[in-house]
Amino acid sequence: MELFGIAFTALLGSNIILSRFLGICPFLGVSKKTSSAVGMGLALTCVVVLSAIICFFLDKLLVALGLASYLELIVFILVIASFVQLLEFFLKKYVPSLYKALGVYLPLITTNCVVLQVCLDLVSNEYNLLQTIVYSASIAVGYMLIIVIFSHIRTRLDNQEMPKAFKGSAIALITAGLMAMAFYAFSGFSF
Amino acid sequence: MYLLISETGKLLGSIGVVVVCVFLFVGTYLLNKKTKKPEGCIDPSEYCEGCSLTSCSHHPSNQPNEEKEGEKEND
Repeated sequence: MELFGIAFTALLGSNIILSRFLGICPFLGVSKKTSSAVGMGLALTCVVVLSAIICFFLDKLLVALGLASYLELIVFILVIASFVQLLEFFLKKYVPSLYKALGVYLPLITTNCVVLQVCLDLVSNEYNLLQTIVYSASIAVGYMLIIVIFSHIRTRLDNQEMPKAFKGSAIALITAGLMAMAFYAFSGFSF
Repeated sequence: MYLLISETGKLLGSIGVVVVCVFLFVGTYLLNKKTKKPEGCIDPSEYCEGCSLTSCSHHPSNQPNEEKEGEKEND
């Protein structure tokens, strides 16, 4: 039940885009087409889960050395950036078919603040390994869910007539605000 | 579990950890850059007009500006 609570909160109740406004740049930039949104979501899921596991063990090492309190941030940033580069290299070299599908989105994820925030959250919440995997996967799936729904809405908005001032980012942000209010209802659930 | 390390040891350890991480990043960056993309793979940098994510390596602002370099050579 505890794991379900973690997953539900990360997925809907406290969605990282709509309640914490993290990862907004790719949320607005890659949500013009549904296919791009799905690709970005899958690539982000892969990176978030794997980097969270790496950062979990890295944090244990920093705590053991007594360096955790002031080195976590800089070390996590560097390790996530290195991991994304390594993942891109691995996909290019050994799984070209997967690289063709998801490789385009990897440079977008290098500086995505969602990845870093998940790593910082699992440290501050003192999650164990299983909770870390569930939490990171739920955050990433929640991100994908919102970006895919948003891309569908944007596709329909493109065909609508509206005042010039509202076109583009303006109506996108208004839509995101309305979605945030709708998803706020899920924060009422407690497990 | 804390290991008993002196303050000087912690300072040196901190510097060591950061240096290792920086070298790790530089190494993986160069490794990735030198690896060729698979055949038939599209390069988004060629057609990307840029979005709000300016830190992305595909963004035009992060591409070497050939026009400016050409102008400098002409001057």
